[in-house]
Amino acid sequence: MRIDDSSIRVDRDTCIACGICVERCIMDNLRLSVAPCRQACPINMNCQGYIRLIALGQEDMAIQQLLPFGPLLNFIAEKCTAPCEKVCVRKQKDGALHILELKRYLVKKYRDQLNTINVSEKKSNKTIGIIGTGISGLACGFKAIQSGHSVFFFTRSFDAGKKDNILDMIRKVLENFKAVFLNDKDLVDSSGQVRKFDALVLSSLEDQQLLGSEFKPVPENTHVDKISHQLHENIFCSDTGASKNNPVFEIARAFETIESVNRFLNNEPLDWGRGFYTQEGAVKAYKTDFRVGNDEPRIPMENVLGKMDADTAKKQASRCFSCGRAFEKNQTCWYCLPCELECPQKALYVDIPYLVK
Amino acid sequence: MNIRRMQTDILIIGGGSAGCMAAIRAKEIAPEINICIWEKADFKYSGSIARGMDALNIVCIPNLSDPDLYLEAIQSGCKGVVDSDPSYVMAQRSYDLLKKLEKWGVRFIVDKKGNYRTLQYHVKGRFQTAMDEPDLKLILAQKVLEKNVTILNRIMGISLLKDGDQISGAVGMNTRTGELIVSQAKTVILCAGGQARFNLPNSGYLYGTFDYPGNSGDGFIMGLDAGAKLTGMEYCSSVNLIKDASMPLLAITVTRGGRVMDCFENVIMEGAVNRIDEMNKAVDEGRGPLRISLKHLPEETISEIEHILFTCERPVQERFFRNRHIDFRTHDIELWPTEVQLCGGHGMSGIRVDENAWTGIYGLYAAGDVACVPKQHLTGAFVFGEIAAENAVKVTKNINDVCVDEKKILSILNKKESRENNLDKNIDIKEFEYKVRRIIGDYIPSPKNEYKLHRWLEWSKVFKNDLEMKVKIEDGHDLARLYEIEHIIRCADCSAVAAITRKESRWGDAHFRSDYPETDNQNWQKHVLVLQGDKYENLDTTTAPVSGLNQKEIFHEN
Repeated sequence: MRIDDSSIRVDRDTCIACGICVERCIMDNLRLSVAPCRQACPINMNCQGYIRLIALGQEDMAIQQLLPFGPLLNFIAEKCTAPCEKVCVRKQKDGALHILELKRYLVKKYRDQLNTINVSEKKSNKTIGIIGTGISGLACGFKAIQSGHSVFFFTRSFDAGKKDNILDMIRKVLENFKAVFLNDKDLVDSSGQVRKFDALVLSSLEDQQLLGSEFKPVPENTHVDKISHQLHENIFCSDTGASKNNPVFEIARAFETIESVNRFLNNEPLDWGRGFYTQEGAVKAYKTDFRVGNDEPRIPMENVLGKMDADTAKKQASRCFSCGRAFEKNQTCWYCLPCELECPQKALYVDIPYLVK
Repeated sequence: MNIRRMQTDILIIGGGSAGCMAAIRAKEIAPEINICIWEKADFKYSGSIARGMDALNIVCIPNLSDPDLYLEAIQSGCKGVVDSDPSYVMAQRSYDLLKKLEKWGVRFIVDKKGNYRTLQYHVKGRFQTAMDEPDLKLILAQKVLEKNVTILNRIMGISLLKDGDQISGAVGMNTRTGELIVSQAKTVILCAGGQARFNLPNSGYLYGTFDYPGNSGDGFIMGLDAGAKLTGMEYCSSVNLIKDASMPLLAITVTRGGRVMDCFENVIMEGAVNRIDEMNKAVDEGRGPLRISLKHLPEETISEIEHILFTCERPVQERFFRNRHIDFRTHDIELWPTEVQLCGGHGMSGIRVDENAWTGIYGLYAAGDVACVPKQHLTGAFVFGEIAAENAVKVTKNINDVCVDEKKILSILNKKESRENNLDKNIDIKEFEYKVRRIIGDYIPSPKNEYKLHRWLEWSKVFKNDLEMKVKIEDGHDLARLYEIEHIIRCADCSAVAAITRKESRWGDAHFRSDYPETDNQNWQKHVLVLQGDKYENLDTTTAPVSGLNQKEIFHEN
């Protein structure tokens, strides 16, 4: 009776383990085995995806994999400590793939395309206030703009003096997408009332003080909810004591926070389905506590940029083992084909199994 | 407690054709109302119409056909056991529906004079209107997304919650992780589909059937538990479809001139799908296997058939026929009886609803395959989705607040936790499902008799015990599947008790009692209703007369 006749074939060479087929599977048959590099990435970036695409000579498609991170990539490429390379399967054999270098190569070459935001088609008329314009605040703002909201930033007085080229670059992109930058004094209007937003995001717990006496601060011994990042009703905080080893964690927290904000505005349960994808082989979509060692900062980006050209990039990328891919787990296929239809790489083929053939 | 909670005004369980239409309609008339859809799969492609569709089977186009004629046709098709009001209302609204879909960009086939392409699917009248829309579900999903509806994917409904006599929400389960979710809701629209996983398909696999196999009767059982009445559960419909693949093609091929023949080359149907009973009879008499011949058709028609078969509803057919080297120009298509399904859309089993899609419980509506508007097909799912939404909005506006039944939630949670616990359990869940469905196939479908049906009820007790005590599960997917199997077993119970009650034979193969082989119109031209008794194990049955204001004289064949 145990007939485990697999009917779905995945081409290992072209599969980029993006997980779209897993999302589409109507019978909950498919699962994604996630490559170690992606598991290690704080923001769950599909490293295997863009690397495979570089190797296949499809750099325009590779950029599509990075687009969800838009201008933040400037920061990521500069500051990331590359936990992905520490877990690369290839490391055992002949040294890890130069994942970060490949990313930097793409970011440099296609910076114009990346310095934009794909705003969701679903328009929202919601306003979101964000206190703090460090990387955490900007990442929140980026994600909120991407979700179609109107965003108001409040620059803290101690942020204003700092000069950072990368953050300025991100800030300019956000301004092009109608983000409004104000001083934190503008948060409270002339009559002493805090301005009303559909949701308010603090990039640090200390920002509570700015909200004045009307807002009851959370007692010191309680923490912001680790999964939902909710502080109080429509106030969220993206700071939950992130690992300071890798600044990209700040972006991860910011994305999680905006996910919660969207759910809050949409009336959905905040922690539904998050942090529960722990079964073997399931997508770890909202992973927060995966840390790999203490990393030393890398050589600044500009110093290495010249080294990688298209040929070396392709050569380097083709070393990738493509560890992750979709697979048939439950043998429940209904042959309805949306998985095949939506596969961007046409790597998946639904065959008719022998018993039916 | 490991339970997520949410609140909404109208909760729609099931995001297929009926669920989408309900959400769209509700937002059209009351944009301020919060609506949430629970979908068992992923919303973009889901439900029985996961991709596209080739026709609306019931459309009354003005000056061509009218609702009265449809009523005559459906009463004849259902041998008189059909409430006329819902079917009449559906036929009345069908043309407006077609216009609405057309406005959304759904492509209906129109000839040079601007007339819709109609085909004969029923005994009388040309109600079937041809469509060529491979992306029907995509269009619907897009419309829903534009309306700002909350959609939660991968949730199957488990139980409805009540506040006194009134619906107050539902409990659902994530089909991947096994988490529970509780939604408080003022009204609930059940659109959870029929029961397509009843006995085993003859392919040798558990899945891969005619209807979407995720439809495991969740809606029937939720309704039953909440106090709704199920009707027509004894109607075990089986159709003759492509051998081994069990994919739909009758309506596409035969209505365009295809011939259904038995093995002696006697033509059973040609040009109209009007003698399904004759097909079953031919198989029973040993004149099978049946086949569809398209050889005599002009090339133009054959390529049209190929185009529709291979793009709209189940595009995988192309692969299937190519593998078998079947070319419609030279080969016939072999047909074989499929497995049984309990379904309101193609058969006549489901929650009894009136013309307002109301189930009889305050705040609970049902639409689509889960509701019994016999043979409503896709038209019925769409129209009753709209009707359910219109009435649900009216009721929702009158309700201020509802409470959920905490005691019931706790008992559901305890039950779930005991099922999750694998201690001393050793039955593999796939094996369990296989056996349950094999035994269902042995005892439930026709020919039925009292002894056989009671045998199933005995087995059912064993299975229910095994399900709680012996079946082991590995992950959330298995847990959800365990609940589905529970629903399958309980649907079989309903089918068995309804069949025991109906002491006659009716609808040809769908309900043939070898101990009562005659049709008894005098006593049994009425509904057999199944109700949940006071205890989990007890099912009550009653009978109810067929109702309706447009009751016509019943048309008897021959």
